[in-house]
Amino acid sequence: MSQVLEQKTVEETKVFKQSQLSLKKYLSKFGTLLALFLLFVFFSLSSEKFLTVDNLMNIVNQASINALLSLGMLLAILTAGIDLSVGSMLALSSMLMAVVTVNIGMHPILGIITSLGVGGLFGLVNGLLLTKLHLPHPFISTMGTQFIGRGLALIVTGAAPIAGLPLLIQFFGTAEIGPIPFSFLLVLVVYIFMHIFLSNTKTGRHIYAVGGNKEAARLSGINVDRVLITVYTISGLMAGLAGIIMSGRVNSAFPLAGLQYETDAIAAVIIGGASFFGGVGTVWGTAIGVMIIAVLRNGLNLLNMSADLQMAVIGAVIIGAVYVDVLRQRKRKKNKN
Amino acid sequence: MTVNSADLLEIRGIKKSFDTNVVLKGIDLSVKTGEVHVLLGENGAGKSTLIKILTGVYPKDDGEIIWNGNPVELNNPQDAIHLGISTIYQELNNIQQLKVYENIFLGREVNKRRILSYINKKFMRNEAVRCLNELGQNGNELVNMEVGKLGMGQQQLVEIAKAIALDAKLIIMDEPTSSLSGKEVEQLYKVIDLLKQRNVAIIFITHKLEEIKRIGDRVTILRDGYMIKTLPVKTTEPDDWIELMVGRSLSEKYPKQKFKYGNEGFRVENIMVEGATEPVSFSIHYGEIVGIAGLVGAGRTELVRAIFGADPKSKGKIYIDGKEITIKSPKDAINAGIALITEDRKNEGLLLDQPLDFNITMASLRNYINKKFRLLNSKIIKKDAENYINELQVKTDSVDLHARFLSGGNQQKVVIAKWLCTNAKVFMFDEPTRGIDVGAKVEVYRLMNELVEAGNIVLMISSELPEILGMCDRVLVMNEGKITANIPIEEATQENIMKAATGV
Amino acid sequence: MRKKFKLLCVILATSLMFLSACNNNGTETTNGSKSKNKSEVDISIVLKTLSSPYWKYVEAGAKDAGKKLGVHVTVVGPPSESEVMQQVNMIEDQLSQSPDGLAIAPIQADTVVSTLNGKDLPMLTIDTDSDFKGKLTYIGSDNHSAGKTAAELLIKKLNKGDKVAMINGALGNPAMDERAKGAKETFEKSGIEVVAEQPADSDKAKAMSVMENILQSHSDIKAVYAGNDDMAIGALRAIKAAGLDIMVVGTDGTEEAVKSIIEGGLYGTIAQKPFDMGYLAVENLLNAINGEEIEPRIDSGLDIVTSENAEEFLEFLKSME
Repeated sequence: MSQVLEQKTVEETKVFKQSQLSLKKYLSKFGTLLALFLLFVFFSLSSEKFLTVDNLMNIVNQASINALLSLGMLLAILTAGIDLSVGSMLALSSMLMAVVTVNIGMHPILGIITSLGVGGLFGLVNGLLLTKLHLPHPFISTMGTQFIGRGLALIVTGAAPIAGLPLLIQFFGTAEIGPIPFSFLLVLVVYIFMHIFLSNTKTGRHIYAVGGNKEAARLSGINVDRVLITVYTISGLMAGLAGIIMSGRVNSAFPLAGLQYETDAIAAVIIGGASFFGGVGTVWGTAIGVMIIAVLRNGLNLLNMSADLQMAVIGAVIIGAVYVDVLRQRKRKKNKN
Repeated sequence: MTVNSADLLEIRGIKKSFDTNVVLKGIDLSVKTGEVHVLLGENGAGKSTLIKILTGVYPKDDGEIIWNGNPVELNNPQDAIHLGISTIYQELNNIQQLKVYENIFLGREVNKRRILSYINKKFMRNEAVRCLNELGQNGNELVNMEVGKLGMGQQQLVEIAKAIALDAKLIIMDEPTSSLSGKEVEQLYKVIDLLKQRNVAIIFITHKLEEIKRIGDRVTILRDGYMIKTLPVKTTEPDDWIELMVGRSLSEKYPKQKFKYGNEGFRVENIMVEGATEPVSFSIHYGEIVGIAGLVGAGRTELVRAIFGADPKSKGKIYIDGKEITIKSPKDAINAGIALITEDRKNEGLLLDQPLDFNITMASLRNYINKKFRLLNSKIIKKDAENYINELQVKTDSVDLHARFLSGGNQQKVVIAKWLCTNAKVFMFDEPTRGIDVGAKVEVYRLMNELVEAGNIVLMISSELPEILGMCDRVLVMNEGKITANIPIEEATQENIMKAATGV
Repeated sequence: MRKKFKLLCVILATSLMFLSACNNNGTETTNGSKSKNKSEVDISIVLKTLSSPYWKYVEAGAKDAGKKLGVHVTVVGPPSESEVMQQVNMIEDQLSQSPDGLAIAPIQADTVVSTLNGKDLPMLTIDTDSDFKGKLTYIGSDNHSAGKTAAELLIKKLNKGDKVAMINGALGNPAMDERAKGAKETFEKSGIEVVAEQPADSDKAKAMSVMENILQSHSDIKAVYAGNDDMAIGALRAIKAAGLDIMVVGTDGTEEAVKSIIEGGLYGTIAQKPFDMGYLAVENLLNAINGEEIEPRIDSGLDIVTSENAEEFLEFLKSME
């Protein structure tokens, strides 16, 4: 009898404690969502063209490439690593796809397989370099492959673009279902799969474990090398897919594609709440980070702000977002005791 | 309460909460000049929080701090240092690559007069030598050495010298002997005596009850955020303290039970760890708890890591129930039913920023995969985790709490839960009760008993001789990577174990 | 907690959709009839970048036309000439502001086609041509003529059998390719031998290295033609460092090049007329908006700058700043 009573009071205190903490936790957890919402409000008030269906669809379309690269980057950052080669992988995979479909004239499906294949293969190489050569940090291995990839992309045609891609590939970049771009739906599907992958599969959890504490993960029987190789391969696949969408959108593949795109990807992931130290971060957080950057760029374009000033603004936002994350970490450590 | 004029520090009614968590419920404490005042309490009793308030890291919610008869406010660490309060933490705060005198003057480097930013090395060196000499050390020998090259004991002394240089009147030491060898511990005790002679007061936090008897003047016991009592050490006994600490009488510190001696369950043959000169062999039978004693650096951790596949071994065979097992990685070991509970739970055992259910199921995820969609069954994961939490009596409201927020003892229980969850049969514990309080220790011992009773193999590495003598049926002793003794418990004594451990 | 999060997202998303739908309906009605009651026409110009002197002249010309013709001109461009996607995004964002006319200098001709194809407003290209439905005209200098003119300028001072070198822009840049072609054909027709032809990616430092290498094996060349002024100046540095006296002609007509001509460095430069390009773009778009027919190809012309007219040209450049 007394046990039942005890049980009830325990439950009550549980509920009480949770709702008490929720307001503070709310702000720190949903801070970025709030920031995105505020940006929306600001730009809607500053430009009458912002909050139109056409423009919103433009935003998600423009964001689709970074959205995919950021997803791969999220995985790398979750393992306390980084992938600086995403832009080069995008260029190389789309260039080879163009060669296969335009220069050699093969079926567009082969082109799509090529882009994904080249991206995945490149990512695999990143993973192998990191794990088999025991390079100290993926910063080094992916910086190396960043240059190698860019060089290879330039060599393919001697720096010239290839235009006139098959309709199927153009579809990826330009098709619309009603007002909604196909690229947005594709990205949405990929995000949903990635969310399920990270939260509900064994490998997904292993990724968090490796990032949270590599040694503890290893001693719990997790094959750390295999996890890292998987992460970088997926990043490569994302870059390959992004390459398809990009070249589809502008109907050409060019060797300088994706130049410095890793910066926007890293920014999106960090704004979205992932930690450089690994083990912390979510797919939907990254989505918000991607949206914040896309909305910023679009909104500032609509205000006709010069591109140079835009760069400065975006840089300031990145610093601000990371600072909020620092405060969050500090709060977390203070509450430790 | 009347103010005692010999009181250096007096604390009245200190309260502190974090959100809804009330950690200190009104602490009263006094420290006399030149006394060693021990702070004793289970993990989670509030010791760390109290210390952080005294050193200006946390602000207090209520209460007074009175120093030399005057009320003071400690708003930041600088205030505490200026007052004369220094702290030596468990994880030392030295910069490994800098020299001893540079560490002693860290942040307060002295400039030569009239010459801009030219550091007055001579002055600093001399001061450093003086402080080291006061602690009975050979200051001249130590002053220019790189701190990273010194042993743990000496590094700690450098920190104490720093406190002397800062003219500390009260030094707080947080579990200072937990990572020291026997000789280094004796050295520290001597230094403490010297400090007392200089009228420096010390607040000493430890779990080692024999230690309190050796150096303490008074002991204050905390429990659940309350100050229970302050007792004189000379005239009271550890059992009294334990009773106040735990709130119940502990009839057994070491709940040893005798089980039926069975067949051989685990055998290790001719294992050569990297860097060892001789192969190691031993076996464990069902029904017995085998302990491995030895000094820090004897090679015990290296041995179990090699068995577990965490480090490479150049040769050796492992048998479970007479069948040979190939182990090339931790995964192989886990599949074979071997568990390694490492000595450093924060860096090797837990994911501090993940919830408890994640941590508990981390090594056995393949058992939670829903056959249909290859997805993890989060409901069952949560349920199993809750079962373990209850079984092991981990103090938490829910399994969603991040591991970081548990106390040391509870964290250790979560690590053990992780291995129970893998359905292991062979449990290798490496320093299982390090840094956890008396109450939790007993629970861990009881758990070991349960494991043996249920037909599992239990191996325990420990540097606490009382623990070895209290819980084991057989004692292996290692020295420099070799097993130097295999002593049944009836014949084991502190002396013959130490002899085998030191190779004398 | 997670459920609350998802709910919040859904609420925010639907309210945004609702608001934007209302807004869209609003703008659609005003779009057709332009009932904004403005006296001003809105023209958008998207350039390759705004970070180089050449494109700044284009911007100046466009803005000047805007002032003189009473037209509101917006000029934007990405931070560098390699930001292909950013330019495409900028075009889209300009289009969503419903300008009355659009001029574009595409970084790469193919990439803007799908974005501009068949859009319902007067459009034209500047400096670099592209093929999309709805393009009314291409305003630019003839790059082939530029190369030809430069070669002719040098040939006047050369004899048959003399040797020359050419320094070209980045591979695959159609404008640079045309200039090189024009120059080479003209040289060869007059019996001048082109002994070396190397790309230097439109970069000054690279051109200097390239020139040094060429001089190693061909120190007897009499003249050099460079695809742009930056490369011409780089090449000149290498020549001066080797203590040689070789005629160098560039292309673009930048202030630095003109100053060099005045000081006796470069022999000459073929200037496109970026200011005119900008001006003509606005002027022609305005005409098209008002329903007039415009020429399908407008040559913005070339200026030959040598020591004779360098001072004058410099004055002109300074007046545009």
